Amino acid sequence: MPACEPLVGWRIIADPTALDQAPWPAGSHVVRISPDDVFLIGAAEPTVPADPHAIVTPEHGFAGASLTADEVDHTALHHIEWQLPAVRPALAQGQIAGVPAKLVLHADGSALLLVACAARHELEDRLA
Amino acid sequence: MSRVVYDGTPIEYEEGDSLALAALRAGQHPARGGTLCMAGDCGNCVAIVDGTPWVRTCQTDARPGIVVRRHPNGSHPSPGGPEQHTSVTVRHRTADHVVVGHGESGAAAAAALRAEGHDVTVFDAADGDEVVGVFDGPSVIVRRADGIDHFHVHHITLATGAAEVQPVCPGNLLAGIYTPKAAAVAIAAGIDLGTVVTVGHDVKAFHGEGRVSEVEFRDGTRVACDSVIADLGSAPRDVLARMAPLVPVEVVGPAAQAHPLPPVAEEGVLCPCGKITVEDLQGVWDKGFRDLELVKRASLCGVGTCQGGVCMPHLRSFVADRSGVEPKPFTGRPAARQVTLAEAAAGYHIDTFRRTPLHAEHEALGANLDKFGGWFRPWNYGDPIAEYWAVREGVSLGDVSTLGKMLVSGPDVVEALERLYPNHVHDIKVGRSRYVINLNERGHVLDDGMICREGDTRFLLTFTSGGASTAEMWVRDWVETWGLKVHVLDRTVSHGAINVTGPLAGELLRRAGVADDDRPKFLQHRHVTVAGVPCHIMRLSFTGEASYELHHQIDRSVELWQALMELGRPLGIKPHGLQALFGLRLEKGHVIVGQDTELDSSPRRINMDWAVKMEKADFLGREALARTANLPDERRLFGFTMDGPAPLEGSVIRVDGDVVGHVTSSWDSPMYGHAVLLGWQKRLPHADVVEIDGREARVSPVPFYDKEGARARM
Amino acid sequence: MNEFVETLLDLPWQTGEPKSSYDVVIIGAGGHGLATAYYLATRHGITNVCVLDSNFIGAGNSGRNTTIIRSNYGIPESVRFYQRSLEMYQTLEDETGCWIMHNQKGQIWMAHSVSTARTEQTRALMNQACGAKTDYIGPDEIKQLCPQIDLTGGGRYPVYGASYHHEGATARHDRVVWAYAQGALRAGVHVFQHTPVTGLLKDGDRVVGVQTPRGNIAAGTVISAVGGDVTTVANWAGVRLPIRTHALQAFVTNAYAQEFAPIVSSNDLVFYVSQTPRGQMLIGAEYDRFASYRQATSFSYLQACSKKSITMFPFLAKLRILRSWTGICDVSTDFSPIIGHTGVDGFMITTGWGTWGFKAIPAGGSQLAELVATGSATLIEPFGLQRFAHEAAMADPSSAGTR
Repeated sequence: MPACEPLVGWRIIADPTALDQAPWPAGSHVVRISPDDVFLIGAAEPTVPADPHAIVTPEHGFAGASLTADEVDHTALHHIEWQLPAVRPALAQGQIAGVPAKLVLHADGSALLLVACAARHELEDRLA
Repeated sequence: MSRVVYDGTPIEYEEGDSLALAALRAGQHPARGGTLCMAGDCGNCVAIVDGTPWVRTCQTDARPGIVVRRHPNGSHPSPGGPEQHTSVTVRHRTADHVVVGHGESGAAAAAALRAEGHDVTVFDAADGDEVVGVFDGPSVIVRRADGIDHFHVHHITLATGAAEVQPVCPGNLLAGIYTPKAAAVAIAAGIDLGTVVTVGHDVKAFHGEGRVSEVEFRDGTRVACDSVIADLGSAPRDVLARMAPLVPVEVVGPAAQAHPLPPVAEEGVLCPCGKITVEDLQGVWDKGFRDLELVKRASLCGVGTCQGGVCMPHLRSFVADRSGVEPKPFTGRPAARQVTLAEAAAGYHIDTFRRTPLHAEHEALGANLDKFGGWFRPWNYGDPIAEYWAVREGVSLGDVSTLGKMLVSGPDVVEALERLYPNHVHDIKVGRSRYVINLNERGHVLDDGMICREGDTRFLLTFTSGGASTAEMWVRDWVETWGLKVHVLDRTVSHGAINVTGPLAGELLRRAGVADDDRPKFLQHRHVTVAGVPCHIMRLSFTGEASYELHHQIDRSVELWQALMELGRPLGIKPHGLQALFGLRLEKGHVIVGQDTELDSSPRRINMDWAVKMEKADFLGREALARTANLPDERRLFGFTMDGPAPLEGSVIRVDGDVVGHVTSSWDSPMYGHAVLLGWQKRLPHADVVEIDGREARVSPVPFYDKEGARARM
Repeated sequence: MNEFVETLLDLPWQTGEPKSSYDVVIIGAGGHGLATAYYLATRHGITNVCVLDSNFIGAGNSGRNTTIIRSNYGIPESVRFYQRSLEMYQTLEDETGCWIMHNQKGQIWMAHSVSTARTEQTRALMNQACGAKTDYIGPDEIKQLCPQIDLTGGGRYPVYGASYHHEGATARHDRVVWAYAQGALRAGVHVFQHTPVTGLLKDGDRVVGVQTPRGNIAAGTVISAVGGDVTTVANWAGVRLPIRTHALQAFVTNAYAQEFAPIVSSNDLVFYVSQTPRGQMLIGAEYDRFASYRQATSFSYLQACSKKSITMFPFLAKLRILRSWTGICDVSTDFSPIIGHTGVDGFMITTGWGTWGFKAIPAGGSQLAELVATGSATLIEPFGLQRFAHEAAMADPSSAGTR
């Protein structure tokens, strides 16, 4: 299992409709954590024109690791007690090996594993 | 042919033999006697297999080198001593239709489902797939030789068939007695059972020394034999069905059918696991225990390793005979097939210990790290008293990254915070902060922290490290309940915080490039770059000295910490751990929620009425506080001083010899040379002088240190 | 006959149907209901008493607990109450003639961090001050009392120390129920099994009896000693209780030779282990977080509990789980019992027994009987329902985990 590396990005909390319409900077990757919550992977600062109260702040709290489709399957088989969504792409969130984590599942079966930097050592130990 | 070691003797087995078959092949009973079912239903073949007791040898394949020992005669096997930690492979799988059992009814059910186009997974113990239980979900737990599988399923069909009834009569614990299926298994394996006599309910007793050598029938006839086949009918093998009445399962085949109970047994061991006899059952019945459950509990029939697999039909028959009413079987409970604790535990992690971004720094500095609220935090760096003096007289760093930190924004944010907190919020100016407590609906203190106003409709809230994990839920729940428009971002783990504290804290910031005019004043906050790192500095004080909390993105924590340590070296900087911090704050009389407070501590009880503005129209807990305001309230937290050494935290506080409370915080103050304490008095009138640890202690106003708060404002 | 059967005393059941009226009708023939009846009859001469149960005697939590007896609580009121109960248990066999398999084992309550070590230290000091024998001990002493322990906790949960409760004990739960049932029946109390109470009889605001399928029964006093459905029964009387009901699960392994002497609990990990007189290892933990009346077992519980226990006791890893069970616990908002008057004339209650009801049976029953008979009972006075209105909750700082 690859090591988790800190990610650079932005966190945006705003009205769901404003997030739906937001013009995200080119090259950034959108992780929609919940209807009102986006983790945007990428350095360029985003804006949310439709919500003047939006919280837009740098987010350096996540570490991530890219998993191949086989690694995703292996992780799901041995470390995820809940069912991954059948449709891809998708975002899956829950405990992985007992650590709160997220899986950004791509269409080809690979995924980006996200975990809080504060717990990354635990996840790495358990997936090793 | 390969060999296993059975009770010290190597015995040969054939490929495909279970351990029980291997024993029979060697002319031995796999345990110490009793009817064999060879189907995992009874406990008559259990032995210690490779050190693990209570293993059903009929369900365990013989493999080269396995060492089997019989359980000790007349006593239980040893649980064994300390051993290495073991781990078992767990797999999380999904299945659409699951059929348990692939006998006649299971095969038919599976075929029918497949014909309808369903995806069907079949488990059968004979294939090494032992179903431990069916649970909510629905989920099915399957034990296999190479690990344990957790299946998420949609539909469960139980086709577990029927278990053969075993004979209850004198001599039924002899070797050489088989159910028809067990005999078939042995014969199919080429084992010579010798002269076989088949008996039904007409059997009266078995005779022999160790092995059965003669059968006595009810009509008085006696027949010599080498082996007996007891053909007594069967009973549903429905423990899984009885286990989960609320889990949707379909039961088919013999497992679902009513079976006639066997004739009531008159004599002999009815429960081989516990050696419970018919006489025992009669005994409890005669003593007034006249209910299936009471008979079971009073006699302990059915609570052994087979969990009623052998005795239940006979027990029900007994109760039906004596009471005239056929009782329902008792509830099925996991485990239907036994698992070891290691197998059950597989895949579970008890908790997650989080590390702050400065973890490696603390380790490098020789910190004693301890677990606090799910985080590793420095308890001390070896010398808490030196750390204390660094704060009181110089400058010190504290890692407070674990504080709860939350951004809130939105058109209704002021309204929401006014309702959440008992203090005023609307009059906090941008750039200012205010200390707040939060209360539950009962008016009891949940947590405390700061409110920092960042803009008209934007605030940063802080919570204690212990309160951080539930803070977001608390805020979101209420905001949604009230239908207010507020955005919430919990950034506890994405932001680090370093507390720069001590009379030289301002000087250190100056050396770190912060102009005096840019340094926030007490209860102000400001975004400033410190040693090249963008920080949000909050000026407040928990230690009692001038303190600057530097909040920053965690990827810059190490850089910031190292720069401050380096710049502070000429100032004698030392980091401080929680041990020194707890003493520092105690001298200031600051409570730690959860240590000094109790589950039902109202603000008044901890002398914090000043943080509650009852003139506000509404806030969480206001109604409760208003209702209870005039009740007599004897419980109150006090500050005390006494000569050292400081009593242990938890020491009781006595007045006139009676226990009136206990010490919640205790510290030998290096500053004063005596102990300072917080503790409860829960009886009126409150005394000025109390007894703690057999010594005198005096109530003291708090704070003990710097009553005017001048030092925090320096 | 085997020893277990031979030592049972008779249950001298009354014959016939319930009378139309009793001085006291108790709903629930579990430990608390039967003990209350027993003490009413044997201590106070009130024998015109009837105990009703929808099932067999002890079918509820009295027969679904982990049989632990201890008094190492965190507030004086609790320590004194449970210490009384613990001492009454020590003499219950002599008093009733029933072998309840009382076994003083000692309880070790481990701490694995600075903050929980403080909690255990606090427990020991408060216990000593209030009459319970508890000391704070270090890892070496723990190892002596329990050689099977891994003091490193698998490298993750090192043992800092423990409070050691010398008089911690176990007793066979069913036999305690039967001891009180036998004593009560002998003293002339009527006990009817399989006789559910379906409603209360009221005269204005006053409760004057109960409804059952076998007819109405008038009562001078009705006592609810119900577990699980207590809020339903209280609602009939118009009493609202600050109670939520949660499931508590536990399990036993197969039986093994007696090699594990004490009861061991962990403050941080929240589980406990002991060995029963029959040799089974009995393992339990805290109640389920969500409220429920279901007595179902969840695999996640077995999983968590197994992991915690083998982490501290690696020898358990090879042991096999025989049977799990579930009781349902009525938990009050301050984690203490609610016992005594309800504010409704003729209706009293004993509830809020959470996961600590078994150990409280002797003191709970005797004190409630005393309250009925004499109008006052010192040890349960702090645990009345009115405390919630008077802002005098009995919240025990050490009650957050296993109790």
